[in-house]
Amino acid sequence: MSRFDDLPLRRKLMLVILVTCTLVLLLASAALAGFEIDTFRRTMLRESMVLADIVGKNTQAALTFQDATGATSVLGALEANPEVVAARVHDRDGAAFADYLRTGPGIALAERARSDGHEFLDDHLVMVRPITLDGKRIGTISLWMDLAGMHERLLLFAGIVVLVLIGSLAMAWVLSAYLQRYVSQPILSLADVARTVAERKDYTVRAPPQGGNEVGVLTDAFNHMLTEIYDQNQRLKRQAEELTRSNAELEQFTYVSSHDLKEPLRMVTMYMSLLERRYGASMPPEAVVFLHEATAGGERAQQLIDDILSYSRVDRPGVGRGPVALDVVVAEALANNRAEIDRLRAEVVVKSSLPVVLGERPQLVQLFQNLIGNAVKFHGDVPPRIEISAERAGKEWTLSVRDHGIGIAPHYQERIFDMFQRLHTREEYPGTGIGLSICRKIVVRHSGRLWVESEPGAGANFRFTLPVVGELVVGEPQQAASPTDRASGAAL
Amino acid sequence: MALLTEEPGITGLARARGRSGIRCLGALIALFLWAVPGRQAGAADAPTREYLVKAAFLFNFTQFVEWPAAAFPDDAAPIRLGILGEDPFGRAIDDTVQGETVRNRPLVVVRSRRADELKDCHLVFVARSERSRLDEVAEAFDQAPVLTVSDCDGFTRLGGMIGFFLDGAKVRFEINPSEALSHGLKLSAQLLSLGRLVGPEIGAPPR
Repeated sequence: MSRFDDLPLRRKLMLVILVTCTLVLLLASAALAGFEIDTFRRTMLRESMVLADIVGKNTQAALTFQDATGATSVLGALEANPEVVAARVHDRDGAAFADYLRTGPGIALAERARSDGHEFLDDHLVMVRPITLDGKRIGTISLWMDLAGMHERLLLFAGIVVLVLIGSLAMAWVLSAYLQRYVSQPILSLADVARTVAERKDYTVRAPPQGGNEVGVLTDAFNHMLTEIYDQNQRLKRQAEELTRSNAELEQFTYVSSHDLKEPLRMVTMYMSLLERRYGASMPPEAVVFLHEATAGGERAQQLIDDILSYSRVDRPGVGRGPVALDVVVAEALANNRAEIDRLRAEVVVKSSLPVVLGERPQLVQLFQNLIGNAVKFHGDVPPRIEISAERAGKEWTLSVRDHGIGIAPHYQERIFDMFQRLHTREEYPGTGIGLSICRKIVVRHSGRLWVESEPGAGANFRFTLPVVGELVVGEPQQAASPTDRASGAAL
Repeated sequence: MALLTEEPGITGLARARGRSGIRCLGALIALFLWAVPGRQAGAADAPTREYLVKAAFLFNFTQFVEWPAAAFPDDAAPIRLGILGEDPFGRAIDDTVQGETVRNRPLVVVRSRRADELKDCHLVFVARSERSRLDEVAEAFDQAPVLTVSDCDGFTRLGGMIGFFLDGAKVRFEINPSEALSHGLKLSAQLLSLGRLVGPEIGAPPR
């Protein structure tokens, strides 16, 4: 059945037509043959019965006068009918009286009279009729009719049926091959259009309109669907363009305003520290404290602006993507955090070899730098110890930056990635609350996920995924692995 | 279909006459007579085997002869068999017709030595005792619808209708159909085909 399901539409149609034709013809032929046989037998029965009665009547006198020669002479008239192969008259007592044999022996004529009626043997029909005179039975006549004629006719009929079958099938084949187009062509052309659309993604193509039947409805619905898809695509494209434009405008605004804020801010801090250096000795001590506070606030504002700038820079078109060796990236991030690490005597361990991934190198450096910086910053009472590792699961690398610091309560573990979200006072742990937002943005831009696994007091494990790159890119690790040649690594 | 032309009728009669000579050779005697060969050596009154056959034939003739309707007073009237002269059958003829009917008519046997007493019979058997007076007998039944049968030599040439003769041991009969026709009797073609035909050629088919 499944083989039939896989057949092309036009083959299927032709097959259905041919099978139907064959079955109908066979059925009709069988019915006709049955009717023919029945008619032939009835005709033969009737004819042989009439014949037996006529001949029997003509032997009345011969039987009555016991004149077997006369009876034989009467039976001799049967020669005129070639279907009669033998006849025998039995007398009143059932003894054989007179015979007729068309061709020699070969037929077992009944010695004693059979009972009245008829019987179809293999090759013969035996018809047995009473002979009566004046209402009294005086004998029996039996006729043996040849059935070869019937067999010949049946054979002829079978031959004709076979010929008609072959002819009809040939005709049905030709006709169906020609006529199936009217059914299959509309569907096939619709299928062609559907294939074109699927292959070329061209939603402006339209199927030619069909008549008012189901295929027509299907075609109209299909065209309508194409129009819908096209319109939706256009709408989505427009919306995406608008979004991109407004996003770009917003970023531009953020960048420009942040950048422009830095200049006056730098002047404020600069003159503030100048004021303290020149006139700090002649100022009352309280004024010096005020000046310190003002300078620190200015520096914080400056830091804030820098962080906002780097956050917005994540989305700006950068150096472009290329293969980046993460061990080089980690080395650079450690170098950037060197002062803090040395100050706190932190221990950083890279536990496994790190992979080469596809990405923007400066952003990945920033990612590790922020995560390592956090891990160092939120140490507990003991000197910080940080472990960096990578493991592969299918098509993803999962990287971990684990510390043994103060940890994060579960209900904060998602909030920490929000912008400006801080869990501690500035006095406890300094920071702007933007670092982890930047991290998440970078990971997402690299088609990964960033999350934290932590318990308060048991340290935190920041983990993120990055896609595994194809073999081709992995095949050139030496360029990306060069820690000294930053420019060429970034250019990749 | 071809067989219908063989049915006794106009052509059947003509053909039967042509073949009658061949057919005479093959006549058989009734089987029941074969079974009782000793009967002819019996008592003086008992008929010979020959007359037993002839008695049966007399009865059989009535089945293949058609009398005009005027020959019977009514539908139930019996067929009268007359025996003219010295009866050679004894009880044989009475036994033969006993309880038989032909076309729903019973059969009655009448015996007489005088022909005019048998004029209302339908079939008259003329015994050998009358062989010297066959002319008179023929005259007596002139025009009457009476089938005359005899075993006297030359009976059919002297105005008789059916004459028995012996073909070896077999009883056969000859028929003068024109004589029967002139008396208004219709003999079945089958009967004609079994007997030897004598008398003038029949130009027109018997009606």
